[in-house]
Amino acid sequence: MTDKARFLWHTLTNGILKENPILRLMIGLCPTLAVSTSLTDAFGMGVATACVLVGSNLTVSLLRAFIPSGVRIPIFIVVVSTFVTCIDYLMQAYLPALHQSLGIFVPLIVVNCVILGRAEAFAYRNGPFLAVLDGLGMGLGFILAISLLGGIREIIGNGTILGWSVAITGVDPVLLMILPPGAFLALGFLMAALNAITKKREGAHS
Amino acid sequence: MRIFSYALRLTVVGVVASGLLAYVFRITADPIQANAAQAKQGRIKSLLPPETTEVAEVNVNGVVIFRGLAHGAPCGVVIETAVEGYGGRIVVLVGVDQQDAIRDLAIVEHRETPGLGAKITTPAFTAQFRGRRVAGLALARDQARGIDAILAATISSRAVLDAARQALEKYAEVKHDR
Repeated sequence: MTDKARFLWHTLTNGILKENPILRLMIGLCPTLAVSTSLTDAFGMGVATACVLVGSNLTVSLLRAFIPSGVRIPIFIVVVSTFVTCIDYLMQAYLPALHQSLGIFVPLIVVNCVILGRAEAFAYRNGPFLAVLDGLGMGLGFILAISLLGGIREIIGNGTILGWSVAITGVDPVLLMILPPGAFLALGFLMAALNAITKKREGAHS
Repeated sequence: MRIFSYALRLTVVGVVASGLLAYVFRITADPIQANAAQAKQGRIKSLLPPETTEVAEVNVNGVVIFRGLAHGAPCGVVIETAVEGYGGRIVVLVGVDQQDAIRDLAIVEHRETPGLGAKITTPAFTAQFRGRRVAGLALARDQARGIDAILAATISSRAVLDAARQALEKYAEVKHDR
């Protein structure tokens, strides 16, 4: 692999594990904790966020010559919220079936600081191609982490996965897991697991 | 004089963004409305008996109801009500059969918590309303053979119950004005 290819590959995969937005950077936690009550909801939220992330990274990167650094944050907010609202309208008008399942997540994306964070930390400093790669990688990382969280909470808290019952007979599901405290518990254990895995890997390398 | 450059650029972005929003809003307004109307028609039909051939929207003393007709003969009524839930307004369509009992109901709009209150839309919950009259509209914790509330979402469950009761009350008002 050439250096260039390695660099591009690194940009793409960076967000999946190494700098996973939820489990590593710990940004965008508010909608993550709120919507990860079931695998389907979590996956829907993940996909919607990833699409907006790629789009907003591209837009911010294209506009970066025009955006003075002194007022970049307000401009990012205007760009992202305009983008999200347009997608919401277009989806409602031309893809009503998709809007039926993803529609409730779209307004939540505006408050997701993964979008703003990547605009600030990456898209504003890099070209459009790299910005799209970063958006894709971070989006995938977001989908992965939120789906894991949603799956774990659905299994333990509701005794189902994707709506199918997996409850052990005689054992009631732990309702706490789909309530807000369960979100923090599941997130904490997931982070601990990821830390343990990375530590082991680093130990093996040295 | 950097501040003027900032103000100018921020204004340009703001104006372009609002222009774009206004444009998208305008081109999508009609399809969105058409989609919503079509979805509502479909829902209303699903709450009426299968033999329904025609749905008539009528205004009886200020109450809008949807009357189902099977070859000209009345076969059921659908009434829309709105109540306050846990997260906001819940709009419910209630289908009433010829025996004045609930045939079925559908949640048209809600903002309840995903995973908890949002379960009011599941058939497991809504099917419990079938065949009930005003007297049977109570939660299982308040009345024997009542409706099982959704776990950890009593407020949402009660809201739907209230909506169903209001619909039946409206129905009683308009029933004799056929």
